[in-house]
Amino acid sequence: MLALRKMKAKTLSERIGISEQSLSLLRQGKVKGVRFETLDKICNELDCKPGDILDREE
Amino acid sequence: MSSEQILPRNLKVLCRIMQALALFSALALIIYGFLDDGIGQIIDGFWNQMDSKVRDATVYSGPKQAVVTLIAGLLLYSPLIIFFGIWRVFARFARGPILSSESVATVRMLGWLIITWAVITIIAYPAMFFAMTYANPDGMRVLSVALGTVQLEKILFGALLVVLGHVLTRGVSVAEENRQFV
Repeated sequence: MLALRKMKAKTLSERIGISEQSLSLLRQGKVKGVRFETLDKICNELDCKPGDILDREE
Repeated sequence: MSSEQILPRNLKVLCRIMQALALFSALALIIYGFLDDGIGQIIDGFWNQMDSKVRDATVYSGPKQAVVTLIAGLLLYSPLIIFFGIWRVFARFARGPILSSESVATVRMLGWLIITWAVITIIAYPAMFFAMTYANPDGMRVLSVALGTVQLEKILFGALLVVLGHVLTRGVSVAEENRQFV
């Protein structure tokens, strides 16, 4: 989605107010959870729905 | 270190002041012990509490003197462990992080130190009389056990800190888990 919007991870992290490291962990699925507030900010910046950026793997 | 993990500036200053106060108190106790013959005063206090007949029957010399001095020294300098515990707690909180297992461990340790101090004072009282009079003839030995509100207060306060330390440990776990949420 970042590539689609031609946005860098660093730019997104600055806009939503979390560290680049946290965003990186979030992208790799290495965090225990994501706050609705963070999800809303990401969706707002990327102009998408949560389903566009969340995926479930077995 | 995130801002929620460090104390505000005014509390940091307070912690540093308390640290200095604990150090000053420890030094004052040591200096008092040496300059004012604190150990001698404690021994005299116990000696004067005994009946005059028991005092007359008590020979105060040799190894007995060493044991009595040791117990009196333990009584006089046992508060040093509390000053050390207090110094350690405030040093840790001033430095941060406040919500860490290390910080909580210092609180728990202070609790155990206070309980230890109370136990020392409870045991030292009968031990001192026993050490002074164990070699006396029958009927001239003294064994006195005292448990006052002062000792109980220490034990209660120490236990409170130990329990609070365990409660804080749970708090640290929750904070740790929260940090894993983005």
